[in-house]
Amino acid sequence: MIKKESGDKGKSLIFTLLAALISSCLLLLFFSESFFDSFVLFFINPLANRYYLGNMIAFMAPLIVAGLGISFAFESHNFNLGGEGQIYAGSLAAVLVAIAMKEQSAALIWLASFTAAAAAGGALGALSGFLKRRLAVDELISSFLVSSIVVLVVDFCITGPFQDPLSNFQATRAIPPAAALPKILPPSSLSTGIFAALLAMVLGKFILARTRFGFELRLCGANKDFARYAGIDEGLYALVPMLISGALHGVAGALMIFGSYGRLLRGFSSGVGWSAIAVALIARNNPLALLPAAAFYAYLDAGSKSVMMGAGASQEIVGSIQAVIFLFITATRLPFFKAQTSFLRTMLKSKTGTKKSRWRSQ
Amino acid sequence: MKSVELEDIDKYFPSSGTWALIQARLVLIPGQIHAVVGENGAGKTTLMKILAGHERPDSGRILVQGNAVKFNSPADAARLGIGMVHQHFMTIPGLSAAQNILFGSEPRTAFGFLDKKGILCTAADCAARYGFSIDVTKKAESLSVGEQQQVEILRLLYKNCDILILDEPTSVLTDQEIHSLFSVLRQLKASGKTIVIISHKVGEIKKIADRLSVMKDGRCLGEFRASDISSHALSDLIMGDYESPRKKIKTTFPRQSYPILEIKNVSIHRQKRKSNTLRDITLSVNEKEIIGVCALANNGLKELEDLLAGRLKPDKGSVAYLGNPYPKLRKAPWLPGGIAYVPSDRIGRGSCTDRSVAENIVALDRDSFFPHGLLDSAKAQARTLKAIQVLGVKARPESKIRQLSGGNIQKMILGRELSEPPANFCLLCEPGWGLDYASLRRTYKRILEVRNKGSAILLLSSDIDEILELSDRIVVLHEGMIAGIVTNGPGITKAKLGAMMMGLGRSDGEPCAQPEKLND
Repeated sequence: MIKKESGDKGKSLIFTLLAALISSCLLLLFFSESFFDSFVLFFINPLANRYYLGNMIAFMAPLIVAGLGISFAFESHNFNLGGEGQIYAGSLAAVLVAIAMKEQSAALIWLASFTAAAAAGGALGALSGFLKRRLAVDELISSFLVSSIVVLVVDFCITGPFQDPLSNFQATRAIPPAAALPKILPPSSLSTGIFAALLAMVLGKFILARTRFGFELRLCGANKDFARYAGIDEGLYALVPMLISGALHGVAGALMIFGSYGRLLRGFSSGVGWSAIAVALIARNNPLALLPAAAFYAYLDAGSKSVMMGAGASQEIVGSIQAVIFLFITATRLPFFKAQTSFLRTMLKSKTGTKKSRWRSQ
Repeated sequence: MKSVELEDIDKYFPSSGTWALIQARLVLIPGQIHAVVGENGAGKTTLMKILAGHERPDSGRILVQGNAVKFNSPADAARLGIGMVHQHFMTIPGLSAAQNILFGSEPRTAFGFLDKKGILCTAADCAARYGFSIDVTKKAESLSVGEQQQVEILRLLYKNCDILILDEPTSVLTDQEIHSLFSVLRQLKASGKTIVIISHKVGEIKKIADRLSVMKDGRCLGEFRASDISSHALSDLIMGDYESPRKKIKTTFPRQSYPILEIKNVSIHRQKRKSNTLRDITLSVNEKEIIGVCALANNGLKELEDLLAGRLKPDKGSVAYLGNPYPKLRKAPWLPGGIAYVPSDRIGRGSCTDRSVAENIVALDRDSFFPHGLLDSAKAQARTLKAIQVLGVKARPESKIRQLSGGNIQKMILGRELSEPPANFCLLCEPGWGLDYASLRRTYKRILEVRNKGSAILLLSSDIDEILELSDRIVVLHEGMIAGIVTNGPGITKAKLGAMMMGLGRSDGEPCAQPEKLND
């Protein structure tokens, strides 16, 4: 009885992905010196050797976990735009705990660090959820603004109090080497973290599709008025999904640290919090679909990086390609954002000061 | 003026496994009002959606002035002057009435920007030309239902549609609004427009239509001139094997005085909207009793519903249920302490359209259907079938709600709320909304059954016939106050209630439960 329908939606997704690919090709064609070289670099190179392939798959792990976080938020009709800040906060917490526990066994460090990461990210998400529940502050705005602040605060921590004095990078001290997740495809950065991500994905699917909690969460997302009518405390589902979403972002950040970087570097996430939104939109919030969606996104990402390095395409071109892809994906999901844009409009209106409380009364 | 013919239209819906239309045919004569009548799910709306380009037929032909045409979208149909007003209006709340009317084809300034003044003028002209009395500067969200309908009709007129299809246009309107709609339709007819009305209300059709087609189970039974067929013969045709004369169900029963729900001195204030408040409402609903509450639009019916739905908090006074404070979160009607609630907003509140019928029923009682946190499918299936059977919903448990017709959604909600065992208290808002005659009889019968089993029922309805037919006592609200409480009986007439609703008369002679307050 909990079946997903296909048909038109599937078609529009394929169209989106095709349009994204074609427009990427067109951009390459116009802006790179040799189209053929760029084409090979973009589409073939990421799969051509262990190093690139490994890095590409390694990038999927945080995308899947953060995408799962976005799915939890979106399925309950909460808009978590604070992923980036939650990732940074989670990573910082994880690194600090790991450094403090350097005498302990690896398993203990993992447990403590990932818990700390989840707690830090979750606290940020829950803050927005709490503000929404208590003061009707829109979570889309609050999560984004809080995140913007947190990123700067974490940057300060990295370059200030926790800067590694022996390093030339803007980075913290390294985590104990024994605590790094085991590598799978050296010399690439692929680690066993990808299995943790897949496990989280399957678990997330189970929770959303089969449990009472997931049922209530999705019902609140689908029709809040009906959920209230059915006797569900919809305020709880403003808070809890944001908490889970934040916690998963925190874990995604910790996965990057323990799987790839080994320390917290300034700007290390390079927009995973935003990419995760694209991934969750492609997957239409279905956790199992996060795997192909993350693979697609990671593939395009690897392709564009490879062009950037190999064919000298400028970073702006690569950025444009990613932007075009994002645009296509969000455009097909536009109805999904409708509620939010209408909110923004009423909010702007209320800023002019005349009808301040109108949007709050039904 | 165009003639339109639909020939041998077939339409199959794979998702619900039903043939919506089988060899359906229809002929529209220019400049006439044509009614398409039939039960819920007879295929009326589907056939008209095909004519308006919203759906594509599996086979069959559409002929406009003898030429076969194919519509791939509503825009194609609009180019040939065919447009449809849907049962659920599609106005955009943030925009003004004028912007809604001209939506998509607004006049523009030299640089391609929207010409705001031009929009207002054009829309006002258009309204005036067809004799509509609507203020086009108003925002759509502040329009009444009748005005929203006018906006929808004007939108089609502005696009020069000369064939207007109206899907159940009267179902949401008050008597006065129906009256003015009909005079608008007559005026449009006089100016040469062809009008198609989808309806199941025999009385109204006889009043307005020139010709009518009867549909049943996806087939067209025949076309008649409205003057050629009597109301009885018509309802026989629509119902088929059901009894046709409107039989009154007896409402005698042993009277008891055990109060189930007590509303004490409840007032709700809202700033600015002075008319939309409740003022000092005191009312108790006893077991084995149906209290009908009627009022004109914006006189407190909606607020009373929202109060008992837990959406509005009383500023003064209290509500008690079975001696305890009224519950904040509703329990499923079949649980002890549960409440049955049929909301007036069946799409937004009463159902979740993106979910299946089963999920819409499971949602009410997560404690029983999710033992140990996981779904018990067998139990859910059993409860779903039970609820579907109460009023014979034409759907499978796994069908999505949005695939159901309006009447079927209402039947699903009624079945769910009134299934065994019934709740102690039932809040029924416009229960007859969108139901055909046969379903309406079954619904009324079921409501009385539930009452006789001991439930206290509060019936909020703007349909006075429904109030008179079901209620034991009748409460009339006027400007948020109780204008009178009367015991239903032969002396109570539609005219009398109508006068009370307008704030003119008072109940005379009938026992009044409490003094009326007409100060302030």
